[in-house]
Amino acid sequence: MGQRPQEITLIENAQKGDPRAFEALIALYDQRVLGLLIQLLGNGEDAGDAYQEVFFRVWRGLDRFRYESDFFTWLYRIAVNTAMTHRRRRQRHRHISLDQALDDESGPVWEPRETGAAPDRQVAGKEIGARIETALEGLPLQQRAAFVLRHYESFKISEIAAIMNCTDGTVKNYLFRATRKLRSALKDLKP
Amino acid sequence: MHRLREKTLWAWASGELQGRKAGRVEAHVKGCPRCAEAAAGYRQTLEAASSLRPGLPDEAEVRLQRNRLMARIAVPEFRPRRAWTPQWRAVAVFALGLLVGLLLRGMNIPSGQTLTVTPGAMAGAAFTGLEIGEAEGRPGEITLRYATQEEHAITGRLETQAVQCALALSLLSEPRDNVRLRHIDLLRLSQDSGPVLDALLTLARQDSNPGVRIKAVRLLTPHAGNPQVRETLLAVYMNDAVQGVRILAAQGLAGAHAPTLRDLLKSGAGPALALDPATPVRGGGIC
Repeated sequence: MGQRPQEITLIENAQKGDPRAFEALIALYDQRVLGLLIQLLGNGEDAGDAYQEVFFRVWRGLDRFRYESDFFTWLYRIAVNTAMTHRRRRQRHRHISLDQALDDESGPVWEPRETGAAPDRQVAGKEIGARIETALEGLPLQQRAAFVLRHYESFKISEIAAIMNCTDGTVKNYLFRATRKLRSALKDLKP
Repeated sequence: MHRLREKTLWAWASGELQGRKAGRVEAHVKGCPRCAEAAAGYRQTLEAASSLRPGLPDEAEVRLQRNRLMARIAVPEFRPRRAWTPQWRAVAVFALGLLVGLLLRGMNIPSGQTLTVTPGAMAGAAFTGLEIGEAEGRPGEITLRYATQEEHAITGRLETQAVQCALALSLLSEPRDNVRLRHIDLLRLSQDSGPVLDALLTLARQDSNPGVRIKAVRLLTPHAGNPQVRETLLAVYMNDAVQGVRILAAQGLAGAHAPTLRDLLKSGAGPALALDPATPVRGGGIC
């Protein structure tokens, strides 16, 4: 994904401190980033907090972005790192919001890839989605991040390696282990 | 019969294998029921996972988060740390070079050793990299390198003002988190270290890495009697995005200048301050 001219202009203006340019820049990607954070953290509340931290870091560190990678890759790297920090923090300090419903439904919403799916397929899809979500929740975050980036964000292995700051081989290890665990979790699903 | 490794079967089933290797695996799988079953298991898993996609969040929710973010960055304290413009870099480096030149007279440099640091050489330079290692054969001294169009270096005892100034300036423009994290501990804040104090104040408020901000706060805390330091610790306590940093700043204020924090809490700012000034209020909040 190369840098578009319009994006370069926004980056340059945002680097000079123009908040409107910054807002226009993040508006290109923030829906996808929030979606990714919901995927990685499993609920909307944590994803919202992580969103704030991600883009705050982007705002404060934008002057150090020097086009060594695509802006999108750089942004996703910050998002994945922030999600990992959040998840480690959450595992250390279990926080229960007073406003949170007992059955929090702010996690990812799964929908069939094929559009116009029949109702029975939609119902089956919801069940599969719930099983996938449970299985993904049980993965270590690196494996989950690699799996989500590969199969739901359609990044190439080399792009994931750039985002996660590791080698292609490490990404393949993460993907293999994630798929193996998912296979165990989903083995009774009929093809 | 020879069995393929599970990872190889996964790689083939998921399309990560290409060319002749994929062909060899395919040929094997056709004749090996166990490998065929394992590969089919991986393929079915990936097909099931890929048959769905996570929906994107609502545009309204995204806009809510974006508006919240933009309100926060509108606060002047959150203006980003901007990289020094080339003109200011040249001025700062020239000034540093002059300072180094003056202080060289006091440094214990063995005869025959020459430093490559001169104002002319440093003009227009920027601290784009930072490596510190023990100077060879000179215990107690470090060599600080920085890159411009050529490699340059400054060598001297860590506690000397020249080295501290160079270190402080380097840290402000060093892009690598891990380097800033490692080397901020080398800063020594003393009575006359203006550039070091400025660097620590900036790093505490504005560094993008919370670990660096924590270390900057720790280095500043013993000097909380200084009004600038106190003001910075207060700003960090009120505004830092990370709770750990805010707590540390609060401890610094409470330990070194307790009245400031107590005054805040008594001033009627509300219970939110007593808990955590940056706790987001959800739903029907108190404030």
